[in-house]
Amino acid sequence: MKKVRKRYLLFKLHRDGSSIEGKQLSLEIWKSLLSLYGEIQAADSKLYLIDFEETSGEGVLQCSLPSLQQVIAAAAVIGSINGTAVSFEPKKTSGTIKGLNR
Amino acid sequence: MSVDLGVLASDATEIDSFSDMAGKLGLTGIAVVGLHTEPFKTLTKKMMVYSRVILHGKSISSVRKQIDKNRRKSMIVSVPLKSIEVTNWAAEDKRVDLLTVDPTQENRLRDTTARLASISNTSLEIQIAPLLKSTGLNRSKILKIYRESVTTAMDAGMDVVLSSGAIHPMGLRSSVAMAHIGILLGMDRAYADSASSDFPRSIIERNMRKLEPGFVSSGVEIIHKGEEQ
Repeated sequence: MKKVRKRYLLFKLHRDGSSIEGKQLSLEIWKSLLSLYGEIQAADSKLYLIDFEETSGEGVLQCSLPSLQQVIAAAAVIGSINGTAVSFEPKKTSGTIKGLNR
Repeated sequence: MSVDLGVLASDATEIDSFSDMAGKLGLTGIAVVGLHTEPFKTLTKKMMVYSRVILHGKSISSVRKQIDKNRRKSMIVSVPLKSIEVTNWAAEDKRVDLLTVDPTQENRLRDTTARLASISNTSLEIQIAPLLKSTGLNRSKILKIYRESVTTAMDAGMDVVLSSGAIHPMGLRSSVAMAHIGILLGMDRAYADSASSDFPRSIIERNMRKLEPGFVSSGVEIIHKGEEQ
């Protein structure tokens, strides 16, 4: 099986209200990705939430390189999570987690 | 420098919270509907607030009256896509900056309108707020209208501007997020970057020049005044 190149995305989730759990956020991005691009693209994205700090809203997402743009678009069109208005801000992308901290 | 040209604050008191959020997202300016006192206001060193007016007239004469009244007071003048007569008139008029796509209406952007608009530098505005509020089939219908309008505009050489259409601060998006939404609407990466930052900035810069005291018309300005004898 051909190895798919990964990308890491550093983001910040701005919110207006109660804090949001990483699981909820991950689910919402999956749902949005599924709705916008379909089951095959969502599956191929290999989306995984590596880290999410609930208080600051900062986190790191992992996905496949070809689906990076789709993952960002899917996350950017999320307007609210469990009734809390949110704004997803992509900050930096890198091929390694180390690269995000540089 | 990125500017969001489509903030729909319902109250002047909300402007501070919008500008706070805009600052966090790296924006340097917002154009707010309903700020009629002056064309622009400097809130902080890094944040400008521009006034915007939306002309909702049903006939050409009504829109013309409104534009005569508001052009000098507002930094941005926009007209929603409506009947073909009003839309074509607005597309040709150099005082109109934006033609806004309304996904709830039947009126679409025509090739002929887009070509007229490209000549007079009127841009097409796509507001992302309806995309954030909807899901499933409803979002798909909005995407269809937006994608068709974007393709028509790009084919005719008309600039497309992405704005938030936000009614609350969380409706704002950073220019990078906005560019990715632009790609979702059928733009290539370079064009999406321009639609989210370069095109709005150039509209503001163009209108700022028009507000300068020496400005006469496009390309003509008073450099030095002679003494009256």
